[in-house]
Formats: sequence, structure tokens, C-alpha cells
Amino acid sequence: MTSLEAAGASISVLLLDDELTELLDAPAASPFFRHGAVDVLDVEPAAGPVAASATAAIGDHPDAVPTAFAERVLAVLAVLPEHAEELRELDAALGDGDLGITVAEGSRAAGDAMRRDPSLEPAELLRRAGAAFASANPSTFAALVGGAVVGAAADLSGDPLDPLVASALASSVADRIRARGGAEAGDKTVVDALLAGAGAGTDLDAVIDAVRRAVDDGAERTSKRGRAAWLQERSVGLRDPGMVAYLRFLEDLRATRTR
Amino acid sequence: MRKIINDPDAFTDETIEGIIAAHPGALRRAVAGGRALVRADAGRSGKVGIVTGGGSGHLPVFLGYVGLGLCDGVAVGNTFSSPSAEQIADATRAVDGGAGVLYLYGNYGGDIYNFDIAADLVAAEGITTETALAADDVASAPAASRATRRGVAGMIYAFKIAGAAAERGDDLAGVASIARRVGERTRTMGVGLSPTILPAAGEPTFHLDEGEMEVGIGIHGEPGVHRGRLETADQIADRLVGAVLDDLDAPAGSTVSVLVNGLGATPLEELYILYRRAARLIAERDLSIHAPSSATT
Repeated sequence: MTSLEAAGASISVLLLDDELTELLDAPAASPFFRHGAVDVLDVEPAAGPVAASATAAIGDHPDAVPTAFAERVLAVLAVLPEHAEELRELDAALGDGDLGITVAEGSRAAGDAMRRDPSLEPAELLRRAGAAFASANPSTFAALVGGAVVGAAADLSGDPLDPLVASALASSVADRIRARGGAEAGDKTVVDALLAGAGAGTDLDAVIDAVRRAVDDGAERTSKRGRAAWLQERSVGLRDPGMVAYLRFLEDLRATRTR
Repeated sequence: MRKIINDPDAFTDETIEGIIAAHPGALRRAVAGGRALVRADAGRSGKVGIVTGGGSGHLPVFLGYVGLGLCDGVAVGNTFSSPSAEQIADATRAVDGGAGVLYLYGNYGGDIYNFDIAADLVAAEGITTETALAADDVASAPAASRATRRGVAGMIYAFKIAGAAAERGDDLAGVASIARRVGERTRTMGVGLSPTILPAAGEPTFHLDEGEMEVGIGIHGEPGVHRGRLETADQIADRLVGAVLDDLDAPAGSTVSVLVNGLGATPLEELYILYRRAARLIAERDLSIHAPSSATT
């Protein structure tokens, strides 16, 4: 097992018993591994793989008049990839460094999904954007955030351009991430940022201030979830990249308001 | 970044294209153009299927362990990223021979999330699945929270042994139980000497100064438990074997198998220097090593 071009090594030990020994000694063969007297499988190549599972594109209306909600979210998704480098750096310090790619590719895919028919209701646009975000660059963050947005969209009532609706949406997304990922408040994850923002009322400036404070407070604690938790006390002093991603999203949201 | 690649974003797909072109009689895609690969004879009636998966960048894990007496299918994600639930479901449908499918992979949040969704998708189509996770890295969590540890090179033992159990005709519950037993009895710890560069990111995932090493590193460059001066091979073996055996707590007189694994750039020579010391340490604990032991990259 490798980690691309990393140098280093690991040592594994398996405590055997009679049955495990017999199975370990059994013949096996793949193009990369062979053990015992058996040849690599070599059958006649199949006539052709079965058809790709089609993703329906019927009912697309890319030329439809976008709702105000769609225009605003698309404007934010267009600039979010600019934070990829910052998020990659933060994530490389705490995890595996793929959050920049996840946010950049996820934002592009979510935007593409919404543009297929930007005239749809906010709930349907959110559902499509969440599903696209989750699968664009599959990762824990993408799956949890994208899946939570899909779930929260189902419960959405109203237009998230209404600050009260937006606040409820952020709480709903946080609840779903906690339920699926197990993160609790204070675990130093994006959940903390979502809850801080949702608890700060309906003024976007106040929400952004609260989320920024949550990011800074979190930096003083240890990470309790995901890869970052493996660092244990060494995570103290580092800002959580998921929390910073939400902060940047809100800042971009404010910037598009004043355009 | 010095890599022999084309478009960084095509890294995973072009890797898969090359492997399929080289081994057309051994591996095939589950669906056209997809990232789910299965044994060329996948779907044998009555045999339990084993599907694994994870990010690319770990060869020969994961797709290198798809073959006779091993796994039956794999879903390949982007570099160090989980495969999607749909890719996992594609692999599952292709390998199911009516006896059910075991999901066998490393303990990572994104993978668990997507394999769980895939299990829901195929359950609706009548395919039964079970899950066994590799969580062998002793550096990633203390023994008290062993279930939260990440899965690293020790998962190769689970592929080999569960694969043999499925090949001899065990049922799904039996294959899953064997895989979990291997997991309970496997421990791993590693050390990193230089970082990884993700093709699409272009930057090292962490920085190590000349003469430093990261003790307890993960397979995605996750920092370990301690960073210090680079030590000799014997000192490194003492650290790794000591931590692994203390955690495993094997009764004196028992038999073990040992795997020394390279992270990609470390030559076999150095791995055998580690093995030399590891074998001595294991003997000193009154344990015997089952031959053949393997040193792989």
C-alpha cells in the first residue's frame, strides 16, 4: 500500500490461528499479487461492458429566467473556487489536503446543476446543488455537506433570501451533519460554524462576525472529528478548514449583495 | 511537482485505462467508462462477492487486490478521495452471484458514508451486503478507542484471507466474520520521510525538514503522533514493532505474520533492513513468524 511518491514504511503484524494460517496460504492471483500455484485470471474479454447508467437530462431549461435566489447562489459558487488554495493549505495541516479541490470542484458542479434550470423553486435548486456537490469530488466533507443540503432542501419552506429562512436552513444543515457524521457542537468542525451563524440572528454582518469568532475559538481547541482528530493535541492552534470554508461562503454571499 | 502525468485531473482515469489495457483478461469495468472494476469472471453464481474501494494513489491497494482468492470488485475514487456511492453500487451489482457481497475497506468517514449509501441502493434491488472495516493503525487512536483507528497496510491481510474464505465457499456471514477476525488481530504503524503531492493540487501535503521523520504517519500524509530526528533503521523498527506488539498483546508462543510495507518511494533494500530487525524483535518476544513473510511496496 503506497501513498503516491511518499518515502517511508510501515510494519504490520497479524496474530495467526490455524484457520487464518490455512487461508493466508491459499493460492491467490491478481495482476499485482500472486501467491501459490495459481495463474492470473485470463478469460476472453467480455464482448463489451454493459451500457453506462444514464443520468437523465430531460426537462433541462438552461435558458429559463433565473430566480433571484438562483442568481445570488450562482454568483457565490462562481467565486468560491478562488479559496481553493487557502483551504488546501489549511487542510494539509490538519488532514489530507483535498478540501480545496472538494470545494472548488463541488462549487462548479453545484453551479452546473443549478444552471440546468435556474427558474426552479429554491428547494429543488438546493437539492440538485447538494447532490452535485456531494459527488463532484467525493470525500467526507462533500458527502456530509452535500447530503445535508439535500436533506435540508426537503424541509425548506420559503426562500432562503429571507434571512429567517436562511438561518433555519443553516440549523437544519448542521443538524443533518451531526446526525450522519456524529459531530457535536464544540468538536471543531463545520457544524460549529453553522451553529454560530444560525445563533447570531438575521443580520449577515453579525452572522459573519459570529462565524469568524467561532473559527478563532475553534483554533484554540483540539479537533474531535475526522482526520484532524488523529492529530489529537497537535491540532491546537490550527483553524479548521471546513469552518473557514463556511466563513468564506458567507463573506462571498455578502460581497454579492453589494454588487 | 515532478510527475509523469498528462492532465492532472485525468490522473485516476488514465491510470485505470492503462491497467485495463494491460490486463484485459483479468479485469473489466462494471459499466462503460466507469470507475468500478471487477474480476473478468465476476458474478459467479453462489460465491460471496467482496467489494473494496477507496481513493486512488495507493497502488497496489485497492484495485491490485482484485483477483482469484482476493476481492471481486473495487470502486476507485479520485486521489485520496472516496469513490461515489453509485460507483460502489455498480461494482456490487456486477460481482453479486446471489450469495451476497461483503464491503471490505478502510475506516475513513467518506468511504463509510458512500459504502453505506451504496448498501441502501443495492438492498432495494435485493442484494444483501455486510461490512467489515480495516482499522489497524495503532498511531491514530489509543487502544481504548480502537474502532476509530484508520485502516492502513494491514488491510491487505483481510483482502487475502477473506478472499480465500469466499473462494472456498463460505457464506456471507462466514466471510464477514473471518474478515473481522483478521481486523481484530492485525496492527500496523508507519513512519514518513517525505510527503506526497496530489496531482490535482500540485503541492506537498506537508513539509518535513531535511533529517526529520514523522512517526505514526497515515497513508494520506496525515501527521502522526510525533515528529523528530530521522533515526537508524534499527531504531525505527524498534519504535514500530514495539508499538505494534504492545498493542497486539499476542500470547507468548503464538505465531504471527509480518508485513513490511513501503509508502511508494522507499526501496526494497531499506524495507528488508527494517525486516531484519523486526524479525529479531519478534523472536525476542517469544513469537514465531509464519513463512513466507513478504516485504512489498
